Order: sequence, then structure tokens, then C-alpha cells
Amino acid sequence: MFPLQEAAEEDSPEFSWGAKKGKGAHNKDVQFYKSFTYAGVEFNLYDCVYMYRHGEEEPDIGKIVKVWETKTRKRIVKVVWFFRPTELTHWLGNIKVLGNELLLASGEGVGLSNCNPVEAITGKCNVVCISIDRRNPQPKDRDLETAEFLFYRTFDVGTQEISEKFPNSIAQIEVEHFFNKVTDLKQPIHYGGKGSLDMPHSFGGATIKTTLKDDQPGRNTQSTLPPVTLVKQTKSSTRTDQCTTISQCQVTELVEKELNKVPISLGRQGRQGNVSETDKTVARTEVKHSYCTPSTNALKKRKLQDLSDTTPFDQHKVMKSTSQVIEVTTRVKEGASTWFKELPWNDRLQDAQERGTLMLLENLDPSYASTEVEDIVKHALRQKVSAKMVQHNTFSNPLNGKAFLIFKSSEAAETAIFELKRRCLMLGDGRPVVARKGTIQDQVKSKDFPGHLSIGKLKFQKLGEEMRKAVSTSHYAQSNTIEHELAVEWRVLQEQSSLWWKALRQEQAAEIEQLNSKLKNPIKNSV
Amino acid sequence: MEAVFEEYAAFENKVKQSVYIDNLSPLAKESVIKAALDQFGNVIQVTLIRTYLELKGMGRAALVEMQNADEARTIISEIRNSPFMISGMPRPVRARPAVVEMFDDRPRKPDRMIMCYWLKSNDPDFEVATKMKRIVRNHAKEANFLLKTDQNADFRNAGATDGHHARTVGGFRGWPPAAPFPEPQKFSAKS
Repeated sequence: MFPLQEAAEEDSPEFSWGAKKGKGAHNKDVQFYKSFTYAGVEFNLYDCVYMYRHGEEEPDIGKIVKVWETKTRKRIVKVVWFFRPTELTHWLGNIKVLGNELLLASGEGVGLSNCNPVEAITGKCNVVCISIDRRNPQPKDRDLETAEFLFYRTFDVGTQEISEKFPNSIAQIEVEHFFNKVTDLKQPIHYGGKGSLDMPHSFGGATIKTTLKDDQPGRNTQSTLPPVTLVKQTKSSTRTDQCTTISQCQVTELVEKELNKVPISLGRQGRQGNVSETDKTVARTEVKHSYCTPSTNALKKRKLQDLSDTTPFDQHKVMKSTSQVIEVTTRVKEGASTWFKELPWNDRLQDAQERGTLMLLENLDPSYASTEVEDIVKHALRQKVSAKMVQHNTFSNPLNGKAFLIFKSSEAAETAIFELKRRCLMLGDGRPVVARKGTIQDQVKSKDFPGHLSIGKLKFQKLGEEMRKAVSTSHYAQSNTIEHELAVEWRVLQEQSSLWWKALRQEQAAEIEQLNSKLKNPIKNSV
Repeated sequence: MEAVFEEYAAFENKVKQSVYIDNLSPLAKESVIKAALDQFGNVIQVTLIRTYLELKGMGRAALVEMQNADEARTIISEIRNSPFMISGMPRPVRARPAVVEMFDDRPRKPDRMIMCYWLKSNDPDFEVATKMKRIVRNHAKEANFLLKTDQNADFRNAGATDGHHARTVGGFRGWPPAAPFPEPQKFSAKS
């Protein structure tokens, strides 16, 4: 066995406090915090986390509602729990649950919340609330896709009832914190009680926040509506003397206009349905509030301006980006003749993908050389291309060879794909060539790798010289360490994985064999 | 002609003395891998493999060429027997003998005549071939799915192993309650 080289061991994952929140009311020695960083991950108040419980295989999921450090330097988090449906079978009975549904604990009693040491946290969890409660910002498609869990019901631990209604507070925390986080660019300013409000009912907080962050307008094909934060004309602080009230109907109108404008300019995925929905919710809640005296024309204009200001520039951004996209493609067609440049293969691939000249050929004999592929294409399609076989890795099909082709122009690529799809190009040993538009994954430099703990960018500020020089190195695991145990678990998983793949490939090979035997006139290659 | 044969023979040799390593952390650079495997012999070259078609987060892979086939074989058996980690722990790397397909700059196989032809649509084989095309596409999708399952399993295992620290501390929840739950109290109008 090779000796253990400088093993990078840490007794406990790194911890550091974030923003402070205030001292305890009863006990001045207790310091509350808003956030902390643990094991390189930042946790904020109201984040959802996985917590490990002794003896349980599956971690529990809870929402952090309080974070503090005690006099004795103990770090505690208070979490309100989410129940998995399996924990509530007795009360759910035959009620259907969604695949990744959770239920939020509410009420009073055992099981609502607990205070646990920070070290029991094993990771962050992405939980999205899909309740249609007015106070809940509705999640976008993107959120739903990346969500690990959803919830829209509560389980009252006191009365043991499951309900879709959310109380005003859970564990003495306002329920708004349990709903989805608001991701407005500008904070919607609630209509305060000051100023001359002639309205019989108070406005109180029914700001509908249909939020949206359009950070990658160009690529985000699922772009939804731009944020229309119904700022209830709050700038009334300066204008209270002139215009005290807002005509909700007017606001609705304006909002509708804005909302209607956008889908047309986006024109991507006809989210018209969504538009009308939000319109209706807007209208409904607007109507609920009392109708105030209509304002002057001047105010209307100003409001229009305000709204278009506050519908953050995202709207403009979106419009710009769609036109940008179009531009790119036209430009591309002009520059297609520059393919002779001998750039490194990676760059050429990226380039080709953007231009639409990239094609993927599949079902080739895996032992073909790239030049052979180029020849095949030259003879069969009478096109000159640049080809390179894709390197096989653990997951490649051993029977199947793939190659990337870069054509001279996107039209050539298009016609080639069309030809190959429509007709059948057979290779010697009874293999039809399968052609596809080439897409390659972005080479993202991701530093994380599941199962790896390594000294990356941890800040060793207070530790000594030695620790600072510590580096994760390569070594064998000694059999008496925890590391060895964990490593063995990974080995088991690796073996398992290779078995799955073997089984899959065997099945696939059998299928192909079967079909192959049906071929009447295969021409065998002379090898 | 001789040169072509020689070239191919040299290539085959290269394949025999190369090892395919995967489950590598993205942090592992070529120099790191070289240093790690220098223990086993003389490393001639390390090339990281680019993944164009697979998902991210599956770990990188590399082709390591050793001086001779024996060294390559030693590496593979050693790594298989005891977990070896490169650039971080505790996930060990995996080693397999390299195959021809892993090298994308390979020379042509000498004296191989490739034939190809277009099938006529009235050829009885046309239908079979179309079916084959469809199956190949399906296989690719199946492989993708298995890849995702693989990745999920990786993440779950990571959660379990990373959570090792949590295990030593552990949390308390108080659920499910030890005693059976009493029936919800029914409030009657008249007590």
C-alpha cells in the first residue's frame, strides 16, 4: 500500500456567520443572524434545507426560520418541518399526492418545528410553493423544473388536518416567509396608512407580484411575462396633495395593456393563456378593493410612465434581445465562407453549432477513422466536410460510432440531413446511417462534483501556515479511515452503474441483431 | 503501403498501453493526474477527454498513456482493488483498459474497403433500415435516461456520504410522535 500522502482532512466543514439580525430580547447573550455559510454553501433565513436525523435513511426537509448563536458558541437553527406524504399516510388516506409533494407543518404541537444544531444540516433543498393563495408569488416554469419538491397544503399538527388554506402565521412567523421568495427588481412599496386616503377599506398588502427575472433573454425560450409589479402608486408620498387615490380600474387597464403588449413582441411560446389568467387575478383583486375617485388625466399619463418604468427595463431588454437573435442568424449566413480557418476543433464545433453547420452522424462503425468518415460523406453526399469521430467514454454504445461533421454552409447541412433522413444510406455491414442536427453541451467549468470534498476555495484566514498550504492530493485510502468506508460505498455504486450499462447495451445489441437478420442483401465489408 | 500498416500497428500498441480513467473531479488537471499515476510507472501522456454529448457533472475522463502495457495493467488492477482518489475525496476514480474508439485521432485501418450505398425506396430492405434508424435513435434516448439515473444516484450517494458529518451530529425532530396520535377532538355543541 502506498503511504497516505498529505491527506486533507477537516474535522468539520467550514462555518462562518453572515449578516446579523439582532440580539435576543430575553437573553442578551443570544445573537440572531440572517445568514451563514456552512461547508461552502450559503444559507439564508427562510431557506429550505435537508436535515439528517439519527437512524433515518431519508433526510428531513425543513425551512429555517431562526438562526442564532448561544452564549456557549453553539450554533442553532430553528426549522419548521415539511412532511413527506409517507409520514402522513394515516391522515391522507386515499387522497392523491404529487410525486414530489410535501406538506407544510402548521398549527401548534409536536412536529411543527425544532431547534437543531447547524451541523445537522446536510444540504440545501429547493422547495417551491404552488399554492394559489394570493400571498404566494406564483412560480415560473423554470422554477418548477428546477424544484426538488413542491407544496400547496399544510398539515396542522394540532388538529391533524390537511388543508389548502394557509394561516396568517406559522410558528409565530408570518406566512409570507413560507411562500416563494419575491424576486422583484424593485421592492413593491406597500401603500402605507399615511397620507390622505379616502378609501373606506385599506389597501393592505394585496400587491400582486407576478415576478419574473429575465436574466438571459436571448436564450431563454421559456420567457414568461415581464414583471408587472403593481406598485400602487405609492409615489403618492410626493403627490398626496394632488392625487390621493388611484383608480384601480385604470390601473387594471394599464396593466392589461402592458401585459398584452408583451406576448406579441416575444412571440415565442404563446403564453397568451397565462396572460389572461393573470389579468383576471389582477382584475378580481382590484375589484375587491373599493373604487376610488378617478384621477386626472395628468395622473393617468404619469401612471403610464410609472408603470412602464417600473415594469422594469426587462421588457425593453426582451424586445431588444429578440431582435438581436434575428440579427445573428442573418449575419451568420454571410460569414459562412470562413470555414477554412484552422481553429482548434472545439472552437470550430461551437462555431458550427451557432451557424447551423454542425451535424451528428450516428450508427457508424466505431472503429472508423475521421478521415474515413469524411470520405464516405464525400462519395455519398458529394459534399466536402470536416469530420471527427467522437471519443468513446464510459457511456458510449460500443456498437455505435458517432462523428461530428462540419459543413461548409448551413444550407449544405440542411440538405444533407434531409437526404439522410428521407433516404437510407447503408454502410457495408448493414448499418443505416442516422443523421441529426448537432448540439454540443457547453463546456461549463463546474467545480462541483458529487461526492468530492476537496480543498478548493475555502478561505483559511485564521488558520496557520500549514493549513494554508494544504491541498487535496491523490492517494489511496487507508482501510482504517472513514474515508475508506465512504470510498468503498462509491465503488459499490460504480460497479452497480457499470452493471446497468452492461445490461442496457446487451439488450440494445440484441435488438439490433434481430433487425439485422432481417436484412436481405447486406454487403459485407472486407476486413 | 507498409507505412500504413506500421502506423496502425503503432497505434494499436498505444491503445494497449493506455488506461481510461473516469469519475475524475473537474478540478483534476493533467499535471495532477500525471503526478498521481507516476507512482505506477512512467506516464508518457495524459489527455483529458471532452464530453460533447453527455451531461455535465458526471465527472471528467482522461486517457493516460504509459510506457508499456504492463504498467497499464497494473494501474487497472490496483485501482480496482483499492479505492484511489485523485484531487479530492472520497469518490474514487475508475480505470479501464483503453479501446480504439477512445482515440479520436486514430489512423485508418489499413486495407479496409468501406462500401456504402443508397437504398432504393422500393427495396425490401428499406423498411428494415428505417426501423433500424428509429431503434438507434431510441437507444440513444434510453442511454440518456440511464445517464440521468446514474447522475441522480451519484447525487444521492453524495448526499449520503457528504451528510456523514451530519450523521455524527444528527438532528432532532420529534416526529413521528412516540405515542399513537389521539383522534382529533370533536367539539360538540353542548359539552
